[in-house]
Amino acid sequence: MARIVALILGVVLTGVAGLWAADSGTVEEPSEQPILVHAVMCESIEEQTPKNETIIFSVSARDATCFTYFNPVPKNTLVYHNWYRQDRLSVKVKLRLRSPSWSTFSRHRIRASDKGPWRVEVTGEDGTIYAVLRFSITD
Amino acid sequence: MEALAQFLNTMRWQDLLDIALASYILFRFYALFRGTFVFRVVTGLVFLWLFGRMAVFLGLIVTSWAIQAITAVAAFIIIVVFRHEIRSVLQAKNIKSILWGFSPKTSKTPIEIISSSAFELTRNHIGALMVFPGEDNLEEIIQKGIPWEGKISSEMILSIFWHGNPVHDGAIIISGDRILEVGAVLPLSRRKDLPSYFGTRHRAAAGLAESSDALVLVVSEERESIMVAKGSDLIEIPNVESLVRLIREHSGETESSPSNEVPQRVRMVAAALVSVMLVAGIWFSFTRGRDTIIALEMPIEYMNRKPKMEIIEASANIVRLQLSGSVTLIKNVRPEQVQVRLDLSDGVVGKNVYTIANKDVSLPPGIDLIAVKPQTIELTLDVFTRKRLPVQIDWVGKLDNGLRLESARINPKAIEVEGSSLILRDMSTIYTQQVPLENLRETGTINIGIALGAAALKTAPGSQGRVAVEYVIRRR
Repeated sequence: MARIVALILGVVLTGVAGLWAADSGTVEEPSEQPILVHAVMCESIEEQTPKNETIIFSVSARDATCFTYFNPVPKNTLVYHNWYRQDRLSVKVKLRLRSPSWSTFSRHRIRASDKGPWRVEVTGEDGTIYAVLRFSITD
Repeated sequence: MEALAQFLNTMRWQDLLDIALASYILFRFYALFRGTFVFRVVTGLVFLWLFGRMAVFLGLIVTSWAIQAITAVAAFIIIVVFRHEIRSVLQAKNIKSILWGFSPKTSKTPIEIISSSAFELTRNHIGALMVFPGEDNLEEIIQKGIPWEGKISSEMILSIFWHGNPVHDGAIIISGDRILEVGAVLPLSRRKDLPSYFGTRHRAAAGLAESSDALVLVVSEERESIMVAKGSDLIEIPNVESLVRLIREHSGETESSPSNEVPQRVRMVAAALVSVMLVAGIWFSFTRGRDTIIALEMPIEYMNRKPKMEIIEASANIVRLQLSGSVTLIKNVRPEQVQVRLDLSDGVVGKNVYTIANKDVSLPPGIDLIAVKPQTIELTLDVFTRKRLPVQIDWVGKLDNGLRLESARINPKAIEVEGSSLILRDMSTIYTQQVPLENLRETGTINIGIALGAAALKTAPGSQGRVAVEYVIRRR
């Protein structure tokens, strides 16, 4: 089994969340769903930010990382990083989001046999697809 | 007795109906054509066929070959040669008389009256010309006379040919018990060998007889004689009996007498019995002969397929049928008479298992299905559909270690693909052809085709088969 390391990084950005609420300027009920602000494949995470965004991972690299940042997160909830090799689900990583905003990532340990097109589907608890990140593992 | 009862128990109601119908057809054939040349010729052909079978059995090569050739064209010969007889049966009689009527060929034409009247005319020195048509159409040969439609009587005949009658010089046309026309003009014979004492009447009689199958009766007023012209013959008639016999022979009619009625009925009953026995004999020899088994390989025909439903895969397209029946029936089984048809009306997308039952196999009567191999057929059915799929680039090879492929934008992002719903159901991405990374050094654009892996897939009409890729490369 691929060694998937899921780290949850809490970033409290209440000011940003309040700003978002003010900008909406509507009388509608605030959404219960977290908003995905940034999603990217990268080589590593340094100081809570993605390092070396890329869509190609060499088998000689250690691992591939999928970074997501949600803001706001109205209430504590779960999201999933579903890693697909072509159309076959390889692994489903459950990640916790904490209010008011949260960034989180999952990591896939690359093996020589993993070469080919991949994608990560970022979904909510109810199956809502927030983003699809496509990349390849090559020589 | 018990064996007979057991044997009869194996018969179906269809078999009894089969024998009854075939017997009735044979009997009706006899009733309609008896006494005609058609019946005699067909009887002869039946004997010829039997003789041919014997020749085959005995191994007479040339004889059997010749007889087979003759019987092969027999139906054609009968239709061509006896078209008049067949037409007269089918046209002159209504459906009821064809299916049920017994039209005994008793004499309708008052031949005795006509014959005695002819001799009465000679005694009175009155000339006459009477035409008894055969099967040929005379409309194009004779010059039409005056329509008469009078029932034949001796007085009428005498009065028509009386010297004071304006039409006495022409011929009368007789059909059944009616004089159809009077004053008809017949074509004159051009023969040089006719006796010099023959007048215009004789030449007219000879002329019509030569050019048709009609019989023409001439009463000579000068010579007080009666002659009959038929074909190229002109026969002098000595007495009434001879004339009656000749006319009767020509019309193919039999003498009608009460004493004749009983044998007639007996003959018909006998004919009916013979028909039943003959057909039953043929039926039993065909269907209850030595039981034989054959194996036939037949393609499966798929029926009632739902619109747009396609057969993607079949576990077998040909089945092996084991059939049994009498030697005669089995030998005559032709592949086109056997059909294996599967009803796909209840088929669904995906795998369907069908068991071939008796109802799915169509066989000639008298042939039974013993086994089918394989008995179950697995069919994968599918409908063709369209799906819009996002495009993903299939990068391959190795990018220079000093470079990083940061992002790529595809245009269009998705394309519409057409194909098997079973294949498309599990597809969520369509990939490009492989893009080698070795050649990439800096940010740029490439145009690449779509890789439609499955043969059953193609890009939908209006959808592009290629995409443009704008990629961004950064140095590490």
